[in-house]
Amino acid sequence: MKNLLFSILLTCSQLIAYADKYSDIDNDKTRVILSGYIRNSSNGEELIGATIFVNELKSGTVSNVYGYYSLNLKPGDYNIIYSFMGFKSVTKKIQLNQNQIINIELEPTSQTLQEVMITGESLNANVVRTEMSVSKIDSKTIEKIPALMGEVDVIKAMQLLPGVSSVSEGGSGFSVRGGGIDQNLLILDEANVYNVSHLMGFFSVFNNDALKDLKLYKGDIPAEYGGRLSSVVDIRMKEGNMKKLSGSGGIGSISGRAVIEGPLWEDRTSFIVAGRRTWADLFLFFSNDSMLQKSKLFFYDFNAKINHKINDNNRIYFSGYFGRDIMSQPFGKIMFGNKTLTARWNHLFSQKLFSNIAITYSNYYNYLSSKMSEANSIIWTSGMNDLSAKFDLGYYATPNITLKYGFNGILHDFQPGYARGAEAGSIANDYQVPTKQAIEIATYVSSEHRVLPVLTLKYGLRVSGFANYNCKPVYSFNDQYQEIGMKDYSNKFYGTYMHFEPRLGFVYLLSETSSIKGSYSRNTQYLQLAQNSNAGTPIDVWFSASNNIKPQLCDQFGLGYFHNFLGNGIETSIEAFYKDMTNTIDFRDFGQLLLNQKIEGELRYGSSYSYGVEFMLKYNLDKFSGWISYTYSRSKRIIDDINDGKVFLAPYDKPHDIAIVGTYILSKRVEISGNWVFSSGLPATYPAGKAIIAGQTIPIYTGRNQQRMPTYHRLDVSVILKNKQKTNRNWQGEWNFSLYNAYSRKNAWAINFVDDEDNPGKTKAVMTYLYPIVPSISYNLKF
Amino acid sequence: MKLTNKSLTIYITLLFLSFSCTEEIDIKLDKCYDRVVIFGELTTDLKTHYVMVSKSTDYYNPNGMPGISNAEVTLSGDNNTIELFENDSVAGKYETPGDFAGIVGKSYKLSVKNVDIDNNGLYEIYEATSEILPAVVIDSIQLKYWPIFEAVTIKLWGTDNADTENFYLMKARKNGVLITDTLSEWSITDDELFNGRNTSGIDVILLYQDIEEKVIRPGDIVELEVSNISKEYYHFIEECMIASDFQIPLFSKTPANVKGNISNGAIGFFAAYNISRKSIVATPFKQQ
Repeated sequence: MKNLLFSILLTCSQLIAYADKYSDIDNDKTRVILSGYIRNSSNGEELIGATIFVNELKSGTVSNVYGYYSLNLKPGDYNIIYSFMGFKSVTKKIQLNQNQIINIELEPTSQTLQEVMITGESLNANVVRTEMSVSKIDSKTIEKIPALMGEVDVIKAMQLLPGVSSVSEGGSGFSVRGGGIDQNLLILDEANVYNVSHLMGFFSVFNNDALKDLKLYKGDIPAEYGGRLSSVVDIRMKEGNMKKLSGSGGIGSISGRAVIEGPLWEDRTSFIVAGRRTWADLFLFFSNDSMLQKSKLFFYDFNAKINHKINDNNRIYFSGYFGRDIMSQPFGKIMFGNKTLTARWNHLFSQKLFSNIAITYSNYYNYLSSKMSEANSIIWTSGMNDLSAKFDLGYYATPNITLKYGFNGILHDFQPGYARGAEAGSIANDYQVPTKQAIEIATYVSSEHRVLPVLTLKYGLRVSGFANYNCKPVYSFNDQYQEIGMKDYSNKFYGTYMHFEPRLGFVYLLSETSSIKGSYSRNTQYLQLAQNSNAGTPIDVWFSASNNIKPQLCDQFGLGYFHNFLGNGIETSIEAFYKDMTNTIDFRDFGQLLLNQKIEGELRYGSSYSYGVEFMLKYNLDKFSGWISYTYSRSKRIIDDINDGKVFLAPYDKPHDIAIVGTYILSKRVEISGNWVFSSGLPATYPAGKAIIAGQTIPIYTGRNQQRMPTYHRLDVSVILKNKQKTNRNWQGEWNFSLYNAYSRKNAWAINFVDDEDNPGKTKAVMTYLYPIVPSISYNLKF
Repeated sequence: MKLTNKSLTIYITLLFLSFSCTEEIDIKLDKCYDRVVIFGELTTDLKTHYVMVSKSTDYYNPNGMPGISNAEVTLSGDNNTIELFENDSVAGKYETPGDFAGIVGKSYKLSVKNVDIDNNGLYEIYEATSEILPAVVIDSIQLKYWPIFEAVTIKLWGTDNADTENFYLMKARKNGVLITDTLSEWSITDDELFNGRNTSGIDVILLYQDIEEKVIRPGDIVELEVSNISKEYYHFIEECMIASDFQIPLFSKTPANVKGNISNGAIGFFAAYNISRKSIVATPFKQQ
C-alpha cells in the first residue's frame, strides 16, 4: 500500500514538474496565448462553461469550472466572441502579437426580454465539446420549474433530464441510467454530500438560492472524478457579489429563505451567506393536541462562502454547508444532517497551466432516540466523516492538446452504528458496530487531443486505490454466508484494492451544427449504502469494500448524435448507452442491515447490466424555453441466492420516461411555466398466493420484481408575477403561484395487499398516494 | 432491539400516513401453484396440541385455506412416537391426545405423510424438528396506560441468561382468553441489547384500548406468557411480521417469501417451546 502511494505521488510530482517546465518554455515561438477569466458583470462571479469562439478559425474553447480559459493561437487579428446562455455576447477585436490576458465581464440579459439574443455559431458548444452524457442546469432555470410546495429544488429539476429518474413520488433519491441511488456522487463545492434528503426526501439539502449551477455526468465521467458507477453531480455554490451588496429572500408555503452577498473589498473579496428554515411546525404549538404541541418537525440549511482574489494568478475560497432535519415527539426523536467545509486555492502557474488545490471535510450524522419508557429507551447514532485533499492541474499544452492531471485522496471515517440506553433506567447494553477508517486515493491523467479540425479524441486513465484500516472485529464468511471467524485489524490495513479506469472518447464534427460522439469509461465504486428499501431511508449507513466485499465495477459505452437547429436555438441529441456492471451488491431477503455487526453476511453478489436510448430536445427561443426528454432504458440483475439465482429487473428499471419542461414569457411581468412527466411504474413484487399462519395472512411470491407499479404521470404549473419596474425602486419582488399535480392524478406511492376488515378471509389491494393537487404561493424579494 | 425499532417505525409510519390517502385498487395478480402449509406449536402445557396441514390459495381467494385431510401426522420425541388424529369438524387440523405436554430439553420431530400436493400420484413427506429450550424466569409484570396511544402495555421484569443468545416470544391473556391471537399481535425480541441483564420493566406487549377484546378494566386478570424460542422460530415470526406489514417505500424491506423449518418446500413452521406465566389483577389506571 505504502509503495503504491509513494509511486503515485512520485508520478504526480513528475507530471507537475514536466508541465511546469513546458509551460514556461514555449516551444513553438510562433504561437501566443490568449487567456483570462469570464465573469458575470452584475456580481463578478466566474462563468463556468462560457464559450470563447474565434470567428476567423471557426473554433474555440469553453471556460473551465473556475471560469478560466486559455487559447493558443498564431499571432494575428481576431474577432473573439465571448458568449454564455442568458448573457449578452461580447465580440472583441484583438490584435494578438504576444501573450495576452483578457478578462471579460458578460452582462445578463434576463432583465429585459427583448435583448435575449440567439447568436450564430458561437453557441454550438454542445455539438463541439468533447463531453457527452452531460447536462448542465443553472439556478435561474431551476427557479422557474414549478415545484412541490413552491420549494425550488435542483435535485427535482435534475430528475426531469433524460436518463435520470426519480425512485419514489416526491423523493430526492434518483437513479441514473438504471443505477442505484448510492451510485451517484454528489459534490457541493468539491465536498462529498452523503445524504441529500430533507424531510424524508421530499426536499433536497441544496438551497437553490445559494447555488450557482449544477453539472451532471451520467456517463463518460471525466478522469478527475471517480468512486461511483452511475453519475457525478457537481454542484457549485455562488461566490458572492464582488460589485455591490445584494440580497434576496422569500417566504413560501413551508419555508422562509434569505441570502445576503456582497463585496468585503470591491473586486477582491466577496461573501455570501444563505439560510433556509421550514416554519410549518410553528403551527404545531397552537394545536390543542398535547402530543402535537410537544412535537417538532423542521429542517434548516445554512450556506456560507467567502472568496478572495489575491492577484490575477491566485484566488482562494472558503465555503461551508450545514443542515439538519429534526423530528421529535415526546416518545422519540430523529435528527440527521450534513456538514461540509471546503478550502480551495486556484493558482495560475502560467497562462497555460492552471491549478486547483482543495481540502474538504464532510460529515453525515444520524441520531435516533426512542423514549417509550425508561427501560426501553435507546439512543442510536451513526455517521460518516470524510477528509479529502485534491490537486488538479489543467495544462493547455498546444492549440490542439489540453491535458488534465492530478491526485486526490480521501480519508473516510465510518461510524456505522452505536446504540445505548438513553436514560439511567434503560436496560440497553452498549452495542457498537465496529468503526473503521479507509483511504481512497486516485491519480489521473487525461488529454483532449484535436487530431483533425473535425476530430477530437479524448483519452485518459484514472488509477484508484482503496484500503481499509483499523477495524475490530472483522468477520469472515463461508460460501453459505455463515460466519466462520473473526480477525483483529486494529491499527492495520486490510481489504486493499487497486483498479485501472481507462476513459476514451471522440467527437467527430459532421458540420458546424452537428456531430457524432462516442465514449467508453470504466468506473470503480468502493462505498455503498446499506438499504434494502428501494427508495432509500433517512437512516443512511454507508459501508465499504472489504475482505468480503469486492469493489463494484462498471464499463460504460456511449454513442451519440448531436444536432442544433435555428441558429443553435434548438439543441437536439440522441444518445445510446450500455453498462456492464460486476460485483453488484444486493441484500438477502429480510436482511438486517442496521445495527448489525455482521452486515457483510447479509450481502449477496452478482452482476447487472443496463442499456437505453435518450432523446433530448432543448429549446431556447425568444419567449419560449425548456426541453423535451424521452428515455427508453432497461436494467437487470442476476444475484446469487436472490430470486432463485434467476435474472430479475433491477429496482430502477423504468422503460419509458418522458419529461416536457417549458417556460413562456408572456410579458415583462408575467412568466408561465409547466412541466409534465410520464413514466412507466417501477418494478414491484406482488403476491401470487397466500397462506394463513396463526391467523395471519402471509403472502407467497413467485419471484422478485415481476410486476410493475401503475404508470406515473403528473402536470405541474406555475405563474411568476413580477412587480412593476420603477426607476426609483432598487428592489424587485415577485409572486410565484404554483400547482403541483395540477390534474390531481392519484399516483401510487405504495401498493399494499391487506385483509379486508369488513370481510375476514378476503384480501384486497390498496394504493397509497401522497399528493392530490397541491397549490402553493411564495413571495420572493431581491435587492 | 426489535421493540425499539418497532416504536420508531410506528412513529415514522404515522408521520407519513398523516398526509397520505389510501384507497382500494384493482390489481390483477398472477396465479401460483399450490403449496403445503403446515403450522403447529407444541408447548409444555398439558393439553390437546394441534398441527394445521392445509393448502395455499391464490391471493384473492376469499374462502380461507382448504385443510388437507387424511394425512398421516406423527410426533416423535422423548423415545416415543404418537399419531395425531384429524379433528372431526375442522379439516386439516391434527390433534394430540388431551394429556400431552412437551418436556424442556427434549427434541420433537413432526412428520406429515400421505399428502400429494402436486397430484402426481406420489406422496410427499414433510418433516421438521424443534427442541424445547430452558424455561424463562419471570420476576414480575406491571401494566401501564399510555394516554398518547390509548394503549396499555405490559411491563416485564426478568433476568436474561448471559451465557446464551436468547430469543423471546410473548403473548397475553385476559381472564384466561388469548388476546394476542394472531401472529402479528405477538411480541418477539432478541437479547442483543440486554444480554445477561434484568429486563427492568421493558414494555413487551402493546394493547390498543380501542379494540373491545383488548380493553383492560379494573379487576381483569392479565397474564403474560413468555417463552424461550429458537433462533429459527424467532426469524420466522419476524419474517411473517415483515411480510404482512404495511409496505411504505422508504422503510419496508423488499417483499420475499418467509422461510420456515418444514422440509420439502412446505410453508410454515413447527415449533416446540416452554411457556412461563405471570399474571396481575388490573387496578384503575392513574391519570397521567
